Amino acid sequence: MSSIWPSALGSLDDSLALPYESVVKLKAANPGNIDEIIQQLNAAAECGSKLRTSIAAELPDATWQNREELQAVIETIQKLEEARRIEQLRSRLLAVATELERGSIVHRRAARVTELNQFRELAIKELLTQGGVEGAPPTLPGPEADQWVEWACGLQEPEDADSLETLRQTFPQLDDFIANLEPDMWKPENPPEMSPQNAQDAEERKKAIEQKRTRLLSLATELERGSIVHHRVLRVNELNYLRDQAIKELRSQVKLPSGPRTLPGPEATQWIEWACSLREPQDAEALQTLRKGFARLDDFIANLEPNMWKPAGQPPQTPPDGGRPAEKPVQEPSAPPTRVVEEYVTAPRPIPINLKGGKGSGGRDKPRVQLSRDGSAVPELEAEPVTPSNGGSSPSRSNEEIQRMQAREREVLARIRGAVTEPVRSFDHRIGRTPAVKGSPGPGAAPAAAKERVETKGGAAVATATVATAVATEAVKAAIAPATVAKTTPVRVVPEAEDTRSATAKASRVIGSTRSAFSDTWEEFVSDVKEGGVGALWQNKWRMPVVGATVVVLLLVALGVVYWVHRARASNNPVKAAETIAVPPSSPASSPQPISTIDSAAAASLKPQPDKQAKAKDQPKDQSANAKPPAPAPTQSATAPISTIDAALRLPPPVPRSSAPASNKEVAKEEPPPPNGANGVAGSVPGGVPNGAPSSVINVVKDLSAAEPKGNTQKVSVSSGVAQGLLVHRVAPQYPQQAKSARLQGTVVLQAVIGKDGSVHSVRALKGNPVLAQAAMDAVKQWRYRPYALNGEPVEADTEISVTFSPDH
Amino acid sequence: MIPLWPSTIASLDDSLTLLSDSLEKLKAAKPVDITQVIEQLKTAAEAARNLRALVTAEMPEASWQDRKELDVLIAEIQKRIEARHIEELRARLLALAAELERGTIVHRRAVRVTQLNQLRDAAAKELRAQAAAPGKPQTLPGPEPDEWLEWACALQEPEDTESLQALRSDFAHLDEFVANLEPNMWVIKKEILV
Repeated sequence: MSSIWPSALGSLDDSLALPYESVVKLKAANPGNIDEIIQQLNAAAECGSKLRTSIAAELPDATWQNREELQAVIETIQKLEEARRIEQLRSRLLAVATELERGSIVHRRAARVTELNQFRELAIKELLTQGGVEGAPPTLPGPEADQWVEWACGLQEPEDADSLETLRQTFPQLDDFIANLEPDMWKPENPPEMSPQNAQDAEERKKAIEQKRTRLLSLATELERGSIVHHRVLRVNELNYLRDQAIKELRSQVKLPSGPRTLPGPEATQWIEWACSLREPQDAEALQTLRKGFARLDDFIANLEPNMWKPAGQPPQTPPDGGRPAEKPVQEPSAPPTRVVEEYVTAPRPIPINLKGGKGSGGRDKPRVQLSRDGSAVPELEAEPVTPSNGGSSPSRSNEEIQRMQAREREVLARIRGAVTEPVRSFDHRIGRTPAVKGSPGPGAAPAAAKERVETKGGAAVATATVATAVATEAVKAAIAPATVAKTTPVRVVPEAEDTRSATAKASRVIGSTRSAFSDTWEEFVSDVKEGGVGALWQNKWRMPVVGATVVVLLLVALGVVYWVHRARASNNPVKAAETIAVPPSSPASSPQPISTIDSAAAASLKPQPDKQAKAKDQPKDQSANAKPPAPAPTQSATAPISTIDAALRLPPPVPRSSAPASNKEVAKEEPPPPNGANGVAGSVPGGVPNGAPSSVINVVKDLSAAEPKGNTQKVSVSSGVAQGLLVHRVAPQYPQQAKSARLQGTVVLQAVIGKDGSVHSVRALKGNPVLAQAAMDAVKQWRYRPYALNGEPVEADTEISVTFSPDH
Repeated sequence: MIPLWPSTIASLDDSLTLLSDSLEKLKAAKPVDITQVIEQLKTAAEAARNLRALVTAEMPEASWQDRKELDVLIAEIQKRIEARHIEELRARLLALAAELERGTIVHRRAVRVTQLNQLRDAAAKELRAQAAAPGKPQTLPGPEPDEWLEWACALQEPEDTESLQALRSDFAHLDEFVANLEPNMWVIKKEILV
């Protein structure tokens, strides 16, 4: 055995011989050479130190008390070395067997090829058998596996008699094969970039590639199943296009024969949330990896805001008491931009049209057409909640405060409503609508009537939009009542069929007529002022509107301040907003809901709340059919509660108005900033139904926050580059003496898990020579990393580490 | 026995024990304070040198190779020292007997002088008999012979009980003579000559 231990022990004993001899002499009171003895003592101490270091390198935990125990420790180490040597011999046999399997035999005669292949098979079997026997396998003479066949074919007698004799004695089948093989008959296969050392390595590598593929496919499926929520159809289309590109990219990566690139980040279900939370410069490395490996996916994520993404199967937010769900933004996977008509409509009882790209009904590129309540085909359209008032529904605000604010607003609104009754009646008269009941018809009457007309004229495709028939009325309301303005709902109409297109044209005509009616009212007002001066404003006809407008302006100023304060808070606390997006997996999922139910819920959300009961009395019966209150909550399962919650917590970014039609710009200009509160139930979301459950949505938000896991226990995969950037303490691997003497070199690839504390938890070798791999693993276990953080929480990170051994360095 | 011998040998053995322990640790490749080991070695070497000097002083021609031979030498030296000590004791007894024979007893009554002379003769005989007896003779307490009678006549109880007891048990006739003799009754021949 070429062990260092006998020589080390011999040196120690030699050094101690003279001191022991001197002890005997001194005991007999005989003189001795003290200087020489001291020299020997120093040498013995040096030998002992070296021996201890060597033992610690092999068995760091070894302890002993005397020479006998030392001998036992050394014997253990020698056994380990022997086992390692045997493993090396086995590895070598297996490597040569693999090399023989991978190569091919060429010969002009097929029979000879067959014969040689048979020899080869036997040789391979022999090598595998010898490699699998218990105890030390015989030593195969010659160089490394990739050069072995060439070397063996070059052996000749009598020069290489020893090697040939060994080969013949221990590997007769292999010797037969080599004896029959001529060098030019053997075509070794080009070694792969990182050839596996043995079959197990190859299997593990294959498994790792398969895991990567599965992960990419999962993410692609996740991207396909989710939907994009935005109040602009154009933006939805744009994001859908980017999403398609990202999905294609992921699928193309899966098909790569050499295996896909490693996707950074957590599992598919959490990936989008994770990716949307990446920010520069903190996550520059992960972003760089994403950008380099998955450019399309990176594009998509860069354009996606967390609140725009609704994962598949996300349960709706259903008030526990049967109240209506919150409004839902347009969720529209795709629609041709040229067909988009955007209208901001004040619709007390709109017909929400939901263009939903369900995969199950024609894929994401085609809007699904649903039947409306009256049975006519209506494209799905969902109204966007224009009740951002994040402050109102902020969990940090107390329910009492919200209730107080909403009660105050309802009181003001009731006064204002009384003031505007007269001009509204005047407007109704001008557009030819007769109130069903004398008196105050309520602001919901005019839009309802307009809708009725649209439906009648439009036939089956009435669903063009929630047509803003009472634009003028609601414009006045928008000027005087912030709570009403809160109900002003931008509705996007994305017609697909010809019927829908004609309905759009009709809607445009109605808008034009209502605008002219408003213009007439305005001219009358101006002429009164001109004739009667400022005093005319105090006439019975204009007194209340003027007072109402003044109050509204003051309210707007106050609410504007609240709005900006909460916006500033929201922008300063992005994490909080992000937390509300996270949906605990335990949230109850529900089946898709019929569109009519969603529509009615959305219609209810747009209706001015205080007038609900009065309107039920005043409206004609045919209108009351459409004005029916929304279905109770148990039947609602709209799939956007989280988006709604998020919208309630954070103000949406300002929507550019440039793309809106010119005719709509005036309406858009008159739209006031979103109010901070609404006249819903105290403690509920702004715009909630009057009799809804107090604080229901807020409670849901609280529940969601509470249900959110406190600690991040997930494990993410990070690329070696990212891990390299996190490395703070590196221990250089010890080049094994045997490997150095055998001039073994190469790269060892390890798979390691970086714990939350930055330590390396588990290491296993993926590729590389076993001797080198062991040394690399020993070193890597001592490495320390900065913990990998996900959403600010340290998580376990799975990564690959490459360690290169070269005897020259 | 010279008291230096055992302490010197014990010092050597103790320092060698510590050194052997350190060497055992070194042999087991255990960490040791090598400076301390060297110090132990130097102490052992010093103790060996002292022992060698003692042996050479007693037996200048002595030579030995190992500890066994050294132990034999040391035993021989101890025997020599013991014989020398016995000879010294005998010489002391004979010297005192001669001293008693040399002196003269003076008293106003002749009967008393006769009586004391008989006691003196018995004491001298006792001393000579003790010195001639085989083995180690009894150790006579007190100073050298020329001062001995003066010292013995000054002994008084209870202060000198120990010496008186030793005298009474080992040299009974001598004790009886000294008990009857008063210091002024004893005149040594030397003074008469003067």
